[in-house]
Amino acid sequence: MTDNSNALLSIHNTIAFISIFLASIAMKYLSAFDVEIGSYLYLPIGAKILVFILFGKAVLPGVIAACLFCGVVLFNTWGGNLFWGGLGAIVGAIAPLKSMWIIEKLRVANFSNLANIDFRHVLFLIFLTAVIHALTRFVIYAKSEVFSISPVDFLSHYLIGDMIGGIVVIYTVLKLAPMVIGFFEPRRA
Amino acid sequence: MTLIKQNIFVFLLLILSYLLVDGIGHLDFSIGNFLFLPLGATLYAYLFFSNRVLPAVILANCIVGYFLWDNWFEQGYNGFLGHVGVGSLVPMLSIYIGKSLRQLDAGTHQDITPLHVVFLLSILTAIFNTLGKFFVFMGNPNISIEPTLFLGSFMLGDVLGCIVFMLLAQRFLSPWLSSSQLR
Repeated sequence: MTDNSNALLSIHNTIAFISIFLASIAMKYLSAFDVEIGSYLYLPIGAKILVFILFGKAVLPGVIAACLFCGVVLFNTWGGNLFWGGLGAIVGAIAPLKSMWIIEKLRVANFSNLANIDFRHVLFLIFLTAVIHALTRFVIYAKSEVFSISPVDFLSHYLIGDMIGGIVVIYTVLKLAPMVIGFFEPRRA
Repeated sequence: MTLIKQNIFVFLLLILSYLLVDGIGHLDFSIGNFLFLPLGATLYAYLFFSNRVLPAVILANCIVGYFLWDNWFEQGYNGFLGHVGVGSLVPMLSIYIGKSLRQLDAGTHQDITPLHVVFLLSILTAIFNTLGKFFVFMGNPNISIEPTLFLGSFMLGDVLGCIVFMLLAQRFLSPWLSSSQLR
């Protein structure tokens, strides 16, 4: 691997880290978050999906680092449960990758070629990620016996929060990106 | 006349799949069956005959739930809502999503569905069926459910049931149905 590709990988991972950190801060102040209940606006899942779509699975270290960092710094070490909370965070970081792998295996879309995907594929990715994320976290937290969770509340909050959070982040970025690019583009006479 | 024949055929197909499930495995609302063939039969029926066989699906589910399962294992309304309401409608929802994702041809009947589409529809149907029934049954305080066991067994049983039934039906049933007067 050349120095250039190493530098690019580092930049991508840093962008992924910062995106997820900012999304977590926004979620904390917009809708609050409790690890046992979840949030109706789980913005970090949208940031994770977005960076995986843009940069591929190479940014997994940055995503995992961001999830663990946010859990420790912003969410009080998941209520003092470092191991189970950290395990849930790692599973949450991998969930979009698993969904993308399933979607590619089922030949619904190919996320390595951005020109061929449209918004309905992204919506389906958000839906599948929400299901996998909610179910895996539920199984981990329920089996850990350190969290006191209500199954219906937990699953409904995580499922709805992930879907709304994912759609909000990706729709916002899709709307904002052309405006930002247009702002910096040199005007033609 | 064809519509009535199609509905009768789907009704008999579903009853047969329920009898098979009743004979080959455990059946309870708190723990799912690990090869729930009726969901695959419903999915196959909607794929082959489209939504016009909904009356037969609802009728078969009602009769099985009330008579064979003793009023949905004495759960009454919750059992009806979960088994008939969710179970009859979720395959239609997954087919709709399959069409939206351009995996199925909109408005045409499927003689042979490609393998990756069978997997996609089976996974979607299993997700909707499991989560739908989970939220319906968890709302009933009379049912004691271990959530992780419920979700795991229902999800696995629904996926396996759908895939196994779809593959067998496409291999043995579709050629006969295509040449019969039912279409």
